Amino acid sequence: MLQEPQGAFRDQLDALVRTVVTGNKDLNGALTAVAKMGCSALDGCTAASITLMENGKPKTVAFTDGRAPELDQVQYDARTGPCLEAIRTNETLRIHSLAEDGRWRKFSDAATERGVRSSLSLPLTLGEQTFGGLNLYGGEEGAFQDEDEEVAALFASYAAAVIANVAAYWSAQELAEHLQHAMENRATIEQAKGLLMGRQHCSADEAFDMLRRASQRENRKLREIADEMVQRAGNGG
Amino acid sequence: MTLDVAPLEAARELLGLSRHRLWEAYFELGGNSSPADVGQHLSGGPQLTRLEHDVLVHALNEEFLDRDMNHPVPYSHP
Repeated sequence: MLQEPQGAFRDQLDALVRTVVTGNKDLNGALTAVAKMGCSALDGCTAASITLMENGKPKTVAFTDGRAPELDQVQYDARTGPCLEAIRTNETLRIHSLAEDGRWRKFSDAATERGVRSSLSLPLTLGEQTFGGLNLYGGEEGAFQDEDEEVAALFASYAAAVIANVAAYWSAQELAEHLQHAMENRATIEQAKGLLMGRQHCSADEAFDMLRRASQRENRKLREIADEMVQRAGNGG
Repeated sequence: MTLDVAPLEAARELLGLSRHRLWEAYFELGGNSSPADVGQHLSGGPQLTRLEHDVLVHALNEEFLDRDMNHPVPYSHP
């Protein structure tokens, strides 16, 4: 019975893999696209979010609706909840009725106050490592049935691979931008050293020493001092 | 002259700065040695030149500047 939807779903997921990186300007946009798709894959889903573990701490990195990060935060503050439990145990956790489920009372109360009545929490796993979770929230009790859980688990397995790849892609992008910025500052400092060498008839090493002593004396960054020097020279000063 | 690298490693650890981040900051200031050479220098291996050492010191000191501490890591010469 699930064969057809799974096939169509797989096509959608393949499209997601192809477009999620190129169609988004940043990592956050890519992750939000994944969260939106996770939510729209299930009829009963009213809000979704993605939790990633960073240095052992959970962080909501994308969401489709403002309620999702609020409910995630209730769990982070309490250090427990279905999302964290799914990540900890590496198992899907479905709550049919949050009003009746007594395991995480604070979370359940916060959810029902916000019109969220059921939840489906899935681990995001790559290889042996669980690095986050997909949190799906339902507006009705029993919003997620067995077949929804199967679809969501399939989605989560694809999403985990996509997320890991886009994270690597954007981290490489960030690194490249960071180095570009470093190169620009380096060029300014080299220019300032050149000016000092011309004026003071000194070596490059001595020019650097002069700049860093000025930085130390004025308690300012060397780049700022170099930048001022280059600007003044440009203005004929 | 042997350059004392212990204060650099202590400062780097205090700042919670990875060696790669330190190298990036050093590179930005005009440092010319590779990440591997900087790593060896910090580990007590083959040493960088006095100037390259001081560029590293300055990279650390600029991180301290962000924390309102004025150049606590000593340069190889005043």
